[in-house]
Amino acid sequence: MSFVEIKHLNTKLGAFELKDININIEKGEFLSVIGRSGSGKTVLLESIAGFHNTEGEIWLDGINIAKLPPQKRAIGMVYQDYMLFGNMNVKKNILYSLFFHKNENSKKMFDEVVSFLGISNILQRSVKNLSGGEKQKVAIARALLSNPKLLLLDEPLNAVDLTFKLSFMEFLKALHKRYGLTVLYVTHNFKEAVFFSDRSIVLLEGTIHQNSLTYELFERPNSKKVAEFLGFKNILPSKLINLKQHNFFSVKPQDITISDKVPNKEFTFKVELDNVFKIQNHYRIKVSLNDCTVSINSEKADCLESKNLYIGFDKKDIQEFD
Amino acid sequence: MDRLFKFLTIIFSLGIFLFLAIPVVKIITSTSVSNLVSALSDKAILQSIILSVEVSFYATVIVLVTGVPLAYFLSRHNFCCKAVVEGIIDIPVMVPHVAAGIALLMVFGASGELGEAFKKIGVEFLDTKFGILTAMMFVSAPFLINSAKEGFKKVDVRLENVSKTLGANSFWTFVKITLPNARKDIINGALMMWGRGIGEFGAVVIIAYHPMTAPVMIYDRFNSFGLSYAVPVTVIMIITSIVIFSAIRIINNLFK
Repeated sequence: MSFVEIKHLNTKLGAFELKDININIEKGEFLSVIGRSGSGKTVLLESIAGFHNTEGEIWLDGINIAKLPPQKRAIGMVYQDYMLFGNMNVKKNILYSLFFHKNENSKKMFDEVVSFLGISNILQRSVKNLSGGEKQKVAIARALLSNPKLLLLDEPLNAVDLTFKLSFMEFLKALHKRYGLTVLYVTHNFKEAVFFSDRSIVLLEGTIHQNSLTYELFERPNSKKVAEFLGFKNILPSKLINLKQHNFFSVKPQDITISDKVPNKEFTFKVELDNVFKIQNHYRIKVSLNDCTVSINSEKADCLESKNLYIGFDKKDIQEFD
Repeated sequence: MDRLFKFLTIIFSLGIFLFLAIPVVKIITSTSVSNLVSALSDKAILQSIILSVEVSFYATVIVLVTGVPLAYFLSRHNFCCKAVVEGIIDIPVMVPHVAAGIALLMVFGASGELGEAFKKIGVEFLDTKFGILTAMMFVSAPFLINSAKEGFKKVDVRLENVSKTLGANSFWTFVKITLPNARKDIINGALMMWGRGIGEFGAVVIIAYHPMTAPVMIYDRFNSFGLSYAVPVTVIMIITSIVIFSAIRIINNLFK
């Protein structure tokens, strides 16, 4: 049994529905959930934390916590906009959980966390006068002091200034390693998932569409929807190249050759030019192929003068999915 | 355009402010110091003012205890008849207060259902402090309940969520997070209610002419002896209200 096992979790919130969510997380794992805005990422975290009525099971460290109130789940939650308590200073925010669960190591833990996060100089300050990064650190410190078995992070980098984003990502990674945290991290940014997680989940419209190693997502998206979400270009029907195993394939714009003669490639097509524009040192050419638009990146655009235009690509350059 | 906008803003603001301030200034300046001193030495006047301030304070405390939970409930839950419930809470603000007094008399009077029930435990409402308290509570509670409700709405429900993940149950979350963050609106609402209660006349005069509250005293003096006898009581009441409410607002702002 995994450290965290979510089985058939369903949450209904008005018109939105989180459907049949199944997730396993190993102890110490940093699992990312990637999805667009409105795909249900935050609702998923809130359901696990116990803020909504749900159906299904949530096993954490061998206990089904699905029917327990949030305060008894041993789950920490950090929202993207921090949710610091405005009626308390930084120190009181961080120490909040100790009012309810004091333990012998509290003082040591507090000193250790504050020192690791580098926030010892702001402890007496009002939370209203902190930078985005500082606020996020205080929110994380506050969650850590409650000693959660599972930490839920809701797009914590969203409100961090772009200049500090990378250093904050490194800091989060170090934090994860230092405390051996089990983390469920939601984001709409693939780069963050690649940076943090060996394994990631794609959540779209309230449903999990893919659960695989993070690099596999980009090499083998399992559906057209996932491929579109991950930014794959030139998603075309497989019948175009007479492949029947899957319904769609994708080919990168830079892997397509365009010429006024039939290119020496496995798959070639005659196309119509739609438009062309220059981006830095290359051309982005859009052509029509049957009812589809195909994008091509090319260093040259001489051939576009010709009435006969052809594109071509090899089988090794395509990715297939359903 | 900018200048015209600023000019109009100042003109309109000044207009409404003067409309509110001039009658108050006029009444304060229309009475002599010697009249004020003699009014202050009139025990009946002092007692009526103390009675108004005191009973309205009790009414406010009772609604703080009972109305704040209602306000919290309304701010956090949606249910089928919510609009009706909110409408009923607002009724005392809309109906003539004399009508409110008559309604209260029907319920809390000697032959009213609650009046009879309370009589069994020795509590009577007709011409008693309890009657004044009931009238003040009825007509001014919406000010506190509505203000507290708006205050609670401003507190992000996710703050409460986080508090719960940190080990607090619903009660402690309410006490340590929700209430302090909505405090300003609750105190403002309480001040509004207290002030409104002190000044209440219509409902009070129906259910309890005696013991006389300050507004009833003003009416009584005006009716029996004319304007010059009513003004000093009015002035003392206005000054007392200004001092109390300014002081509380200043203290409230100090603890932002």
